[in-house]
Amino acid sequence: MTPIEFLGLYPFQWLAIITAGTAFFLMIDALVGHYRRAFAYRMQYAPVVTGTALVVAALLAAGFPDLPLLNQLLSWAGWLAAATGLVGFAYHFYYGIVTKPGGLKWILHYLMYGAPIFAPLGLTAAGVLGIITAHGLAGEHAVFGLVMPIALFLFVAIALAGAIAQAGILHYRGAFNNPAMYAPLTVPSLAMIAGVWMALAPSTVARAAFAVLLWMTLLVGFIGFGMHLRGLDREMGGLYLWHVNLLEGPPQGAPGLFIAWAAIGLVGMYLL
Amino acid sequence: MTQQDQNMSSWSLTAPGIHGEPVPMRDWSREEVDVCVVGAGAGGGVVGAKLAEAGFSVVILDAGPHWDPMNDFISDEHASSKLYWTDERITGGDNPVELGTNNSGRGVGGSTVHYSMIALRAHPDHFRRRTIEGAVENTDHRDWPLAFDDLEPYYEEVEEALQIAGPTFYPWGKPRRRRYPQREHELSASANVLVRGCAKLGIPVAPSPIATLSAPHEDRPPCVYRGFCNFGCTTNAKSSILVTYIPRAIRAGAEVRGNAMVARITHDSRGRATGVLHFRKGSDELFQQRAKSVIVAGYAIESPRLLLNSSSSLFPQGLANSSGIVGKYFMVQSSEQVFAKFPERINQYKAPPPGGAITEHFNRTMPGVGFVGGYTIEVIGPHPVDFVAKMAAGRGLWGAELRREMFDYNHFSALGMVGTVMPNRKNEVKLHETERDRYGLPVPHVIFSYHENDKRLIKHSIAKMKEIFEAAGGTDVWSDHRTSHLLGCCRMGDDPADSVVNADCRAHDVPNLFICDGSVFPNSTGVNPSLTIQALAARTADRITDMARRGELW
Repeated sequence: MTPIEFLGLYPFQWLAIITAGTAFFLMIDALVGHYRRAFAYRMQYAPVVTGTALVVAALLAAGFPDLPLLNQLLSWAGWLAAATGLVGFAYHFYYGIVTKPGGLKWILHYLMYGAPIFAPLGLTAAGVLGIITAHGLAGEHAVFGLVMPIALFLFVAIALAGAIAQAGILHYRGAFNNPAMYAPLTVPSLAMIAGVWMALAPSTVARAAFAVLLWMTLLVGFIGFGMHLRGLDREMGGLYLWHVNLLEGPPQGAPGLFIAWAAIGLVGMYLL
Repeated sequence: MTQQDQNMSSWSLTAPGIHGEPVPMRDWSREEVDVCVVGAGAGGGVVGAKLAEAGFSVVILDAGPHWDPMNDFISDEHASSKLYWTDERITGGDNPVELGTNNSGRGVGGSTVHYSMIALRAHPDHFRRRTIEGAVENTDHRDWPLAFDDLEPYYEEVEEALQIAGPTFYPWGKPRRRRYPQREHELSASANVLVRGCAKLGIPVAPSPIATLSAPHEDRPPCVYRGFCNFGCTTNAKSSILVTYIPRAIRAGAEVRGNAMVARITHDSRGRATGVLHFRKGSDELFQQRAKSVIVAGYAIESPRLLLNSSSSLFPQGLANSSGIVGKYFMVQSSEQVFAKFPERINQYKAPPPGGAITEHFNRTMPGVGFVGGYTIEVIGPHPVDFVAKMAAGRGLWGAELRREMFDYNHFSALGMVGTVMPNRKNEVKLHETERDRYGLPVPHVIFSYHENDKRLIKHSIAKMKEIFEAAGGTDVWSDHRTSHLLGCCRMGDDPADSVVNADCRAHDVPNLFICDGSVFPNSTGVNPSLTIQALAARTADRITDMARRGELW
């Protein structure tokens, strides 16, 4: 296994950059969402702080891949972000559903209107990605007992599952008012299946299917950015009231997750 | 519509569009149209639009203006009074109905411009109340000449057209065949109170289906929860007839003529309707609109009034009134309201008044309660001027005390109910002997008294609503009387001797006259009637199309 250089950077440097980008978008989403609820709980600052820490650590690690201390820092930041995400998931479940009027009986309502249940797990995923990247930058060929590409493919499959679930909930809330809203449910689901296939029983067919579906997922993410901007424009006041509709309209950063997870799969496939 | 008709009319008029720009509209004033619809509300708007789309030449008249939602509606409680029918009317009976506010509409869109958007289907049992409940002394409630299954596809049709936002699973009524077109809205603070109270008492409660967008639809944005729905929606998120069916009608070539007060329906020597005579704003002259058929959709006071005002030597009791039933069996729906104060801020005026939660748990015939029929409990959100009046009336507060209590306005939450009312022959709309309106037409005299059954239902509902508030932690619980939704007066039935129209809303006496609004209800349902009126209108449009194609109409 020889790492392949791409645009002057080694694969794990790319993964560090993707980690930073993902953490940045998730941190911004948490900031906007928690600002919308006026930071009612002090814990709502946590993802902003740990997300920022992960961004900084990942960028430093990408810039100076040979410094073991920075690798270690990225690993710690990864664990911290992952833990924050899990705690956030518990918080979102407990305060966003269980303690609301009607509680679990109204779970369908609060999945749509309570705190986005899977969003914190995005931060967990970014954290795990940071940990994997730190191991890779340290020159290790395996992580969590799995060889690198397999670990990445499984990671992509699990991360995509979370993104699909959250997109599914919110697009259902939007009543799939545009048929394009089915795209992030269908294409990434197939990519997810192909990822698991590729991880468990690699073959040329699996590889080809996974590659095509990853490129399509990447495309879905980029188109999603445009569609979410259009969705913002279809709110009352549209782009003219962008500062209001940023809080009410489709989450502007969310499609980026599909780009990030697909890109990780592509790094694992072409560069490792 | 013949090719000749097509050529004679021109797109020379304009109507207000829903985004503030005028849209081109056809002029049918000098032609004989296929259909003339009187009233542009829940019934008239739907039937007119569907017939225009089916290729008929259609004129829809309304006594009030053609609203321009971007410019005419103001987020101000007082400015909304122009949306109500405030012409003179005389009331009477033991429980005279307060008119000219929530239960009336004037202008294109009718009362859907200011209604609370609750879009519930009636239950299958509501159409067979006589069979299920049996005879009740001093009333004459009866089964409908059509069943729920006849209306079900039309409920689905209008729900799709209005893009009703409702829950994934709605626990009451017949299970749905299709999901609501849009998802439910987020619970408001008032709805939280209802859910909390019901959860504590074990009363099932669900998100409420309402005719307001929760996601963008075509050129209309989703709701922004301003809470001024009852004063005319300025964002077009509210699916009133004005922004849904009326633009469709105009696009399909109908003329929607505002400020046209219809005085009488004309007929020929064979007793067939030939058109309507109407006044236009600023003129004492009577204009004629010739039509091959007439659809009356003026709601439960103006529809019977128009029929009674159209009496002639051929129809001395009034048009379509050989049965003597026109104007009889007038009904309201009881709408008692209960208020309570809470420690947390509620801001009851925020978000659409239905708030997002509802319980139809009591909307059924319950054993051992001493009354038949049922009611729905809904969230309401009165604005300050309305609220202060209720505070004065319901609690007897005045002066400094009232002022002090109003400081806590934002901490009050309110529930309202919509209950069945028994049809009673003594409750009626008739022409006043002496009083005349500004056009010189006899004004309606509206007589209403609650039946003993209604009073028991009201008492039960107030107790239940108070229980819910107390379970939710409310204090200072008090109630106030109110009515809403006018029904009856031109009831439908199979027997021409004791009903005015048949199941197709076609008058028994005048084959080219239809009545298409809440006045055809032979009994009341325990839910808000708008969706049923719209479904009936959609069905009537299909029936008229069928009959015309088979040559049975003209």
